[in-house]
Amino acid sequence: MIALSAIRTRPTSYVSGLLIAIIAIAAVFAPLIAPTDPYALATVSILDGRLAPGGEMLDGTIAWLGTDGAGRDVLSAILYGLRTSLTVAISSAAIALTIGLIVGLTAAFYGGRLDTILMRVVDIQLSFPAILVALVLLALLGKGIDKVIIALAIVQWALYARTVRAAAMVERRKEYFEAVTCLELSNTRIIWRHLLPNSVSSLIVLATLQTAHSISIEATLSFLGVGVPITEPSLGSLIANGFDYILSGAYWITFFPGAMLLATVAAINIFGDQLREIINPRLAK
Amino acid sequence: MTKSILNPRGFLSALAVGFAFSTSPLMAADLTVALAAEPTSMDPHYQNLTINNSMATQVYDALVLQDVNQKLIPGLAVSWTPVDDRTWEFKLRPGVKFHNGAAFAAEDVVATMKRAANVPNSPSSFGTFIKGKTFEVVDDLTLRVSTKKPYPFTPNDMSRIAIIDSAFVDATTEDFNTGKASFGTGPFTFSKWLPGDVLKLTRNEAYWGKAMEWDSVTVRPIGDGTTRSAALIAGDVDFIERVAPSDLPNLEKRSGVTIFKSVSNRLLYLTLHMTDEPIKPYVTGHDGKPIVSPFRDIRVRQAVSLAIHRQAIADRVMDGLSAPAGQFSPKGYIGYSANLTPDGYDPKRAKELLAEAGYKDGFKLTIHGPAGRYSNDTRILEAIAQMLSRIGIETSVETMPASVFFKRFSRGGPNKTPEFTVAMSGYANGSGEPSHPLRIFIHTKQKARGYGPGNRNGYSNAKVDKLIEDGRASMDIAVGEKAFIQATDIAMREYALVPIHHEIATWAARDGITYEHGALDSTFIHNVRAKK
Repeated sequence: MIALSAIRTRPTSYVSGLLIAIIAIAAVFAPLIAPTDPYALATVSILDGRLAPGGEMLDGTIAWLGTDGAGRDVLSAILYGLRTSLTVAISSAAIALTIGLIVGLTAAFYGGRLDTILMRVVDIQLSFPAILVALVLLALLGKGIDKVIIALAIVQWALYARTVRAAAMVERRKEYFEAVTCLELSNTRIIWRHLLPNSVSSLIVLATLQTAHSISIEATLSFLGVGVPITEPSLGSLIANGFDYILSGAYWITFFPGAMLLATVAAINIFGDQLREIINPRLAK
Repeated sequence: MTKSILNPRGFLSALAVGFAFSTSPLMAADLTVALAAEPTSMDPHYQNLTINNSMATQVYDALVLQDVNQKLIPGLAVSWTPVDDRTWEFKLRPGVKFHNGAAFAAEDVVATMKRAANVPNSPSSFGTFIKGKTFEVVDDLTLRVSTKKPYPFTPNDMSRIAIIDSAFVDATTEDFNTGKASFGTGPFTFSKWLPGDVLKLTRNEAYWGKAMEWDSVTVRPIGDGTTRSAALIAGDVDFIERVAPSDLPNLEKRSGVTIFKSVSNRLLYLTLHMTDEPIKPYVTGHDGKPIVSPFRDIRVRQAVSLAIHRQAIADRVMDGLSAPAGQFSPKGYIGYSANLTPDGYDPKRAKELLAEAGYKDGFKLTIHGPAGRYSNDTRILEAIAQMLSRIGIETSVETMPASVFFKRFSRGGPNKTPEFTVAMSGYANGSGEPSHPLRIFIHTKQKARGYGPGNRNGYSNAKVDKLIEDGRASMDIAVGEKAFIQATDIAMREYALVPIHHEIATWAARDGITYEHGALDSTFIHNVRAKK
């Protein structure tokens, strides 16, 4: 509740939060808001391809942000693409968070050899660039939204594990922890009822920032052509689609999805930063 | 420091240069060409690769040459005739000298064949054109080539082998790369080759054919299309191949630049799995359960063809750089049948055909194709998916890197059978042998006999098979051609494949240069001529 009132007193967090809310609503209700269904191949026509913003499509719909090379209305494609991008980012963050939480808490609580082994695995995982690992995984797994989610979860879990472990190690040295240990409560109970709630705050911030990060990674993967199927473009594949046409003047295919991607990632990042300051007031200047 | 134009002598020379350019823009007879790729070697027998062969043609001649439409024309042989069912006789050109001054004779051909079939570490050997043939020297200017069975394509095969001086029969690939052994009979002599940088050629003053206008030719590899165009505009190069589609409108508008376009023999096609077995996961009912391939029925295949709006693909996806196709060969090219025209766009008839075949409600289909192998390949697949969805075939697209695609395309299924139900691929007849596409893609698959290795959809028609085999067994080329055209007509009308389009190849040059081009999308420098 303190956090909520703190959000209200900070205009930056208020604005970025609002922007995230609008983007989320647009994504969730895309099928209702979007003028056309960009994934319905039976209605999308290449004869509508590369219309300039404001152009009229064959069925009479006005393409306010133009159409892409395949004849999809860019506005509709952005709304649907946003859905894909957010689904991928949020699901992969949730999976990675869960794995990271379990590994991190286990390592911190039991310590010793188990801790060493788990943290070396984390070290190895973190030493590879995320995009490289994701590329290799997708090359092995094949195309599809589910596969992108798996790949991104595998790329990210280690970061969560490392963060949770650090926070939990600090908690372990506190007096209340000695108290619960003396009470001879079961390990599971100590971990879930005491260690977890006290270590989770830094994780919330990390999760927010990582969601933005995984939107960018997904966009990069789709841009490189290994992400989602070409008939169901995400923001990244829309940008890639338009990239070839930039020199011939059809800027809108890349520009609008790019602007949307920027706005989404920036809003989440700013919100995450604000959240960090609220949760950890020592960081505030 | 550049000379000031105010300096009287500088002014005069500037005027003189200006004057010279205005009267004859080709005073300097040095040609600089930028190509998209560079050869892997300048050894003409190292690797059977388009770019290597096109470079080799400049320095070396074959017994038989090919014109821009791969029609056979005399080269180091002035004529070739069958003397019996299994033997061809080549009359060789008299008075020809290699670049090192050695005289050309039948012995050189025999020596060449020995080397060309046995180059160490060759990634793709020329041996296929040579093995199974016996070479017999009758006299210095007469050569007989015999095969075990009647084989009408010996002259075609001979057009693939660059003839070298017999003195260099044991020369290494390195010797040909450095120029130590690079003595041919072609229009240019080899000067030097710095891989990744430049290939320099000089005019062969003693060339037996029409002399080249250029004193020297510089060939530079520039991989990026936009960079090639920029180099042409800046005047760094005189001639480029493969203009990037995005640069084309810009270059066409520009004065001082000429664009050359021609419909190439590179065909993009769909192959439709047309047997009952095996049932593949890529075609299902609306409930998602795999069904027996609907493409067994010719009406469904025809529906697919009629659903494809080829002109829209040409205009919207290819930016005008493709021509709708109805068969393997473009017009004017070997094997072209005048009886066939590309199918028009008729979605209404396509729906009727589907209904007649019992698929009134359509079905679900996944089509496969390579990403980045052919010009705009993924976009074409996407457009085709749209068009098929429109007639009720609910289509999704799966693309993959070319190396993965071709592996799965040929043997990704159970027991190393072809994996896909519907796939898009490309074909260009590199050898110029007219029965090649029929033998590879159309004939019933008979691995041991070398028939149908590319027949991945199970098409089989005994009449077509017989026509192909008879044509290939007749030493009379005219009889063969007739049989091949007949086979093409039947196979295309039965949709053994669904042709989509032929790509249009492009070149650009500064004014004053002309380029003779045909159905081949590779570049031949000896066809770059000064405009009269």
